[in-house]
Amino acid sequence: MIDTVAFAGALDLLASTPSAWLVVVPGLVIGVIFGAIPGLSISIAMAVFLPATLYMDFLTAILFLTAIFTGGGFGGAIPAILINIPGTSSAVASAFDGFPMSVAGRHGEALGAGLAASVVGTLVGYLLLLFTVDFVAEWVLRLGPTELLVVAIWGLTLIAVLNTASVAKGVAAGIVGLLFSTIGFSDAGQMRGTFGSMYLLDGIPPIAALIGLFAASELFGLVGRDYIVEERAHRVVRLSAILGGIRLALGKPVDLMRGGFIGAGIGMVPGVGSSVANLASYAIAKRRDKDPSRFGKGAPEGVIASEAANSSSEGGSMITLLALGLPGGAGTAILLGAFAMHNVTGGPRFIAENGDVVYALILGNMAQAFLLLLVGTALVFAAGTIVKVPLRLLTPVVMVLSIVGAYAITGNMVGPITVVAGGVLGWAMRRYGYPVAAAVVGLLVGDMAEGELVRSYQITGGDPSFVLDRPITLVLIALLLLSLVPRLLASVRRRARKGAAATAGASPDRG
Amino acid sequence: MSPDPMSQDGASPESASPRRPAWPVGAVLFALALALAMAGYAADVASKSRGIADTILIVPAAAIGIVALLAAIAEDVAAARRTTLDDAKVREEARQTRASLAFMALLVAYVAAIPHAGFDAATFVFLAASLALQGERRPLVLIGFAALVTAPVVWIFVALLSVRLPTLLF
Repeated sequence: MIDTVAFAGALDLLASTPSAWLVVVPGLVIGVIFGAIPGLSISIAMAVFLPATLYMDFLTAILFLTAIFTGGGFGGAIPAILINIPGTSSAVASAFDGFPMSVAGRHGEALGAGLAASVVGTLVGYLLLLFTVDFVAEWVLRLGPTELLVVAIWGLTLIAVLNTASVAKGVAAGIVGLLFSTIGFSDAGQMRGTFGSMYLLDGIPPIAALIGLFAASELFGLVGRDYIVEERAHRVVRLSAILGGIRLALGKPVDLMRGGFIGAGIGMVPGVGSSVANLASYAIAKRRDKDPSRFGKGAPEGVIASEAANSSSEGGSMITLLALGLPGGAGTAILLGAFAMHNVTGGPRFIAENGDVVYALILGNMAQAFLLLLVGTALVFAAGTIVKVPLRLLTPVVMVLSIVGAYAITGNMVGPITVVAGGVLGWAMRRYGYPVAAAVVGLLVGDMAEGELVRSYQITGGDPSFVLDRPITLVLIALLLLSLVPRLLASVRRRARKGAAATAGASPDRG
Repeated sequence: MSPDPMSQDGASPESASPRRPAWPVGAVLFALALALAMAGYAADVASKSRGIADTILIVPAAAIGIVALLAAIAEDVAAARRTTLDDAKVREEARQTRASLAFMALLVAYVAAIPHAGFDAATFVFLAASLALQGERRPLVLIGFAALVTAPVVWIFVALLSVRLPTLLF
């Protein structure tokens, strides 16, 4: 179940890498603050601070970024509870009962319960990873080029299809990223899409593009926008209330564990991350409760279910990232970017060859969960101030950090120019409903997809019937098709409903 | 950037019935531009290809992408025909779009200026201008904010982390 040699190696590694511990608390603080400020998101925080990891070794870099990820998971709940504005999209359901609790004067308790749920959720996610990683590592080594090709297509298709936008736009966005990844000098020696520029010979710098698509594009949309924060956010938070909330949450182990398992399970599937986990867990908790009518009126179980799930989805998504090199969403896409920055290739061989690093990552993240309890409690006292930081001051500062970070990575102006171009493209994509995460994932897995496609072609000689002798490939293709069915059915059903509505009551005042 | 239909609404606050675009012009132009870029890229790669390894992913992917974009256009047009626009929302979106486009222009100018004016000077002006763009008019606040942010950022990146950015003063 656990590779004990690698586990011992991980303990050694963590003990001999003090820098890994130095970055965790700053990472958690950054995560909580970015998560708590409405408008800023965890992906902005991770993208902007990604270049800082250039100066860290691999383990330290990943622990720093996952600390931001973990901190952001709880940070989003702070404004959701205090002012009914979820700090991030993964805290939407946390507001359903968190805010009513706040209105009733139980805000300290709600924050404490949310914090405890986030801590336990993170632990559940990483515990699952701890016990499955050895088995998964063995299994993925059986995957050959055709299987990996199907996995890459599957991952990309899920990300493209399982988003809130339309299937067509998801697919188009994924392909935009895929095609961007092919720009530059090809394996066959052709210069593709470089327009004769020597700067593009190495292709589009993925980290700079990622910063542009995730951070700059969102910042463009935030200019001149300030969230109205009522004075209520000033209210005093007492330690006794927070501790009461923590005790309350810990007294509901079933809710905590259910939320944790739901989140981790959902996190494993590419394309559905913490936002879906947060909502799905809330819905299930409400359905299974003896008195569902309490939900939405300040039931602590609602906060516990939603916060446990969005935090545990991180561990779930790490399984897919580490085993297959497939990022499931924005956070893991940035982690994959950090892998690339440190010349580490995720995927089947990674766990087998770096067992100690993987276990160190898991243990480091479990320690992070406990540290979140302290950092979160300390920052909750400043919560009223954090949610009121004026966005108009932060937007230009974060933009400058993005530009200078991109320059630090590429060492020339190609980085900043890519951030601007990626930002403009990402802004237009968001505006017209194309999922930006699908484009980023396409950009990051494009190399792998093209490599496996070429290798598959060389092995099969271009004969598709070859896959008939590859049972795992066939199973994966079947799973790929099966996983699309629910979304396609939902799409057909929605279209039928819209059609019926349009014919029933076509709006008379349409221009 | 293609003009957006939302921003073309010239209705004054008093007008009861603003012109409502029947076509989502911005969305259609954006999708068409992406489709054209995909087609052009695939054709260029195919014409200069040195072997199937060059085209095996790009050509089919571009073809699927173009079909998806055409489907997206059809969806957008159908959705626009179903939607009625709320005047206040249209005006708010137009204001937000103008602010976003102005900020983009400012960022382009900032990045273009870095090699010439230096990272420190360009950052100082960019920060002050961004704040001004968002309505701040007090000169002391503009200059103070720009200086307070520029100094530590330049110090951390240029002096501490040795990022070789061109600078004017430091």
